[in-house]
Amino acid sequence: MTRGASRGGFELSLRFFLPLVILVLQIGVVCADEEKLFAYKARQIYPASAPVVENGLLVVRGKKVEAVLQGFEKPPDGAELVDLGAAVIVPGFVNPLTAMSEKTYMGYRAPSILSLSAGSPGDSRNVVALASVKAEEMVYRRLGRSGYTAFAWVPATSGFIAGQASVLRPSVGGEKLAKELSLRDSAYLFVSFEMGNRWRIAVEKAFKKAAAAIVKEREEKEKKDEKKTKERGSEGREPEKKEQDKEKSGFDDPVTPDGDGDGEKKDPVSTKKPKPSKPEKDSPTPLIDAFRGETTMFIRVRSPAAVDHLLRVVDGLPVMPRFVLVTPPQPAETVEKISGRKDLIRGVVVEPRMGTFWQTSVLVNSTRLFSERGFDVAMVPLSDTLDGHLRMPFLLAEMLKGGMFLREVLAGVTTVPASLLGLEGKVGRLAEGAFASFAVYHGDPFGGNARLAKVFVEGVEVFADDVETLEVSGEAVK
Amino acid sequence: MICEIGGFERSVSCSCALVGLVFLCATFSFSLPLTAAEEVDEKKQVTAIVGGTVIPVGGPIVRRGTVIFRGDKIEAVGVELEVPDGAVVVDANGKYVTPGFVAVEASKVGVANTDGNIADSLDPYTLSLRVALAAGITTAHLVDTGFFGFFGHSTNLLSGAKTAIVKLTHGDLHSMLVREPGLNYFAVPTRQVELNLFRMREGFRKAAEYLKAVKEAESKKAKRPVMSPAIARYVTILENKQATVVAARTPEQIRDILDINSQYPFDLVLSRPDEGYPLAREIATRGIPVLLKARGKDFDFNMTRPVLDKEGLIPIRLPEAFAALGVNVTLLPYRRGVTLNGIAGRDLTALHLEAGFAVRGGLDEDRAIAGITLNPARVLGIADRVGSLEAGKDADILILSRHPLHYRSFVEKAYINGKLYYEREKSPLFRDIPLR
Repeated sequence: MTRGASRGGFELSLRFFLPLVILVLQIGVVCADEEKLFAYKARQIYPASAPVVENGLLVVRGKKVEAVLQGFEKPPDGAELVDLGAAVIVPGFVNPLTAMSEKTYMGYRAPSILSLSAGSPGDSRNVVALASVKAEEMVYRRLGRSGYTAFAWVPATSGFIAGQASVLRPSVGGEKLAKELSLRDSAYLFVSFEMGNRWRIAVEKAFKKAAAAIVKEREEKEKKDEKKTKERGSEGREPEKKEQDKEKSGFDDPVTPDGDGDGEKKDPVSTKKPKPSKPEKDSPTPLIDAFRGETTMFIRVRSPAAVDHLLRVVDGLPVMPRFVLVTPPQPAETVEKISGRKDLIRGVVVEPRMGTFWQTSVLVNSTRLFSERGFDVAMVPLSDTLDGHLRMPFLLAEMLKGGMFLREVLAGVTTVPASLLGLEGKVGRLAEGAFASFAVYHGDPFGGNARLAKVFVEGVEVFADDVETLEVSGEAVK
Repeated sequence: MICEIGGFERSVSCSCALVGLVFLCATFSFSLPLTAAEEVDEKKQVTAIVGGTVIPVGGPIVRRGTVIFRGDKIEAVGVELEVPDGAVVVDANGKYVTPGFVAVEASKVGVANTDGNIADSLDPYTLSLRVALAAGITTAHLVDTGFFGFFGHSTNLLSGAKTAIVKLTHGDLHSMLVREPGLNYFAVPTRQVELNLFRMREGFRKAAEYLKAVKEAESKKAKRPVMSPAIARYVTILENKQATVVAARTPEQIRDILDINSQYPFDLVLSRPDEGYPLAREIATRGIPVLLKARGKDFDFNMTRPVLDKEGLIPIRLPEAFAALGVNVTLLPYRRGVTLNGIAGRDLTALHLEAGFAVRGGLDEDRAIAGITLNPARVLGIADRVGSLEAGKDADILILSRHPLHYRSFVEKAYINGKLYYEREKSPLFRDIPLR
């Protein structure tokens, strides 16, 4: 009995304490990893948010970038130096629009999402891409070798509202839950606009409803403000008195949420923070959020005529938020037309390929035209597959040849898409505090002849080619 | 899509790039959007086309005439008109000035698809639109011909076909739509004739009764009666908001539809009454316009013998034969679509040549030109806006290198609503063809 009891007690303690011990050890290992410093030495580093650093050191602590140092400075104390030789470090590219799946990512020349038909004008506004992500699928690991380190996935539904895009990073191995891959669960609402009566009616109906909700909200707010002003007016000199009291005491009125104090000295006990202007519980839908400006909206059009039809619909609305236009190459006259509507269009997502000037065989780089007219231009691969992503540096070289500046080209795959996805400062740049997600190239990454050598996602090496033998491994490291 | 995507040209020579740049700049200057101030100026802008032979269609030909238009409307047409100060003067010396051509049946021109209606599917950038405009067509009555329309097929249109009247304003969607629907289409029975004729008469009778009931309900301010979907197309015809085109080829078919039209009045247009000459006098008396092809089929597929054997006239004679009796004759192209693949010259782009063929068949030139301008405009019910060069009408004007019926004639400039939408010298479509 005694032996049995003591054995039972031992088992009990093992059952309770062993996982705890393992957990503590794991946390310790993780903490130790996070604190581990690496200094990657490379011939060039493109921080994307700053000029190119020659002979630089990229200092990474755990998941984040700590510094980008110039001129082979002495690495910080305790940092492990990784000499990448003549390699070039570039921030991991950011794809603002993909719909790859386990079934499609291996295709060779699958059309990009810009060229796909949106089917019928259905509405899937509440579908979030993250919901259908299975973290253990191979697609999320294989994409680690593409040089891209952030992807905005749109749901694999069609219709005029395809759903909400989720920004994911490639897998570094071992993730079980989709949430672990997520950089942003709901980055934007993806809307397609096709020509035709059914589409116009569907889009107009949904947009008008959302716009009407916003107008109503504004009117109610105006009424409330008016009421408040009247109440204040009827209180006579009381506000003035309050002001005087405030000056005397040096504190804000703790009861008034929107007091106009400087906020430096506040009563730590009784001060209530002003309520943020959140929508009512029953009203918000993703589309209304987009109309309110709380969510970004990407609107895809496929032809110049569709741009005209879209503008016609949008011009008939009382309220329209700024949106990101997703478009294949457009003729110069359409670019001109779009550039006159910067009040509506905050950025453009394009395919980096040449079109021809209408009625001629003169090649037109509409990506450059958009850039020249001051748009934030983000670029997506021509083919929505792993192969398409691997080809992206060659297309960027074509864009440089087609008259774009290096900073525009680099921004088009790094900072601009990151900004459109609401992840500026986190991805698409190498600066202090950003995720250490970057790619290492042998050769000029924008010269059209570079080889991808390594890819790091949040400090973890997910892909490496043998630098010595220049053999392509073809597989992710982990 | 206008932006036809080519492959990547990895090496573009400097000279090519320079030429391209110059061309781009030149075209940009033409295609840059106007600012608000410029738009205001554009409305006031006066243009004078001087020195050309003006064929106004509504009146006599004017040698060395002048056409003045302000903004989108024609202000004056005549000889030795005083050109207003500040007017843009366009020299048309040695050239011909006519109203823009009106195509009364055009398929797949300036329209991407017909999903529900035409207005929401208009595409002002399509190649077919540019080609049709280069052929002088400024106004087109679009008809949805379904699958076979893709080939520019010439079969009769089905009842209730979707139609719209558009102007071929290249790159300008907002100016395109004139009216939707355009004309009603109605097909007379060709199979099980007795039975279908009975059904058709019943349809008209019920539709007339329904409309009468609606009128009574309105006068009494009572509830509007419910319409059966089976009589919807007959109601549309008898409401008579637009004219109705009926393809009646044989004298029997024409007789039937004329009888129905006598009983239930509506604006009737006869399409291709190829064997209807025996009834031409009645058609003329009743003021029913006809749509004709000067190059119709000389052989009937079903009969496998020349139409002459059927006591009819050969197609090329028909326009003159009908017009001589005072019928409003509108000329149709051999094919409705723009089909350049091997059959150029037998499609919509040869509309002026169709008029030329009608002249070959005996029609006088004035009536032939009216057959592709003013007469179709009358059929479409837009003669107050287009079809002739008259003060107050839309400034849809062509400057042609030769007489419009000449086979070597090319459109030099095409104005729609007073705006220049086509210039041969700047367009690669026909600019390389030397004018002789």
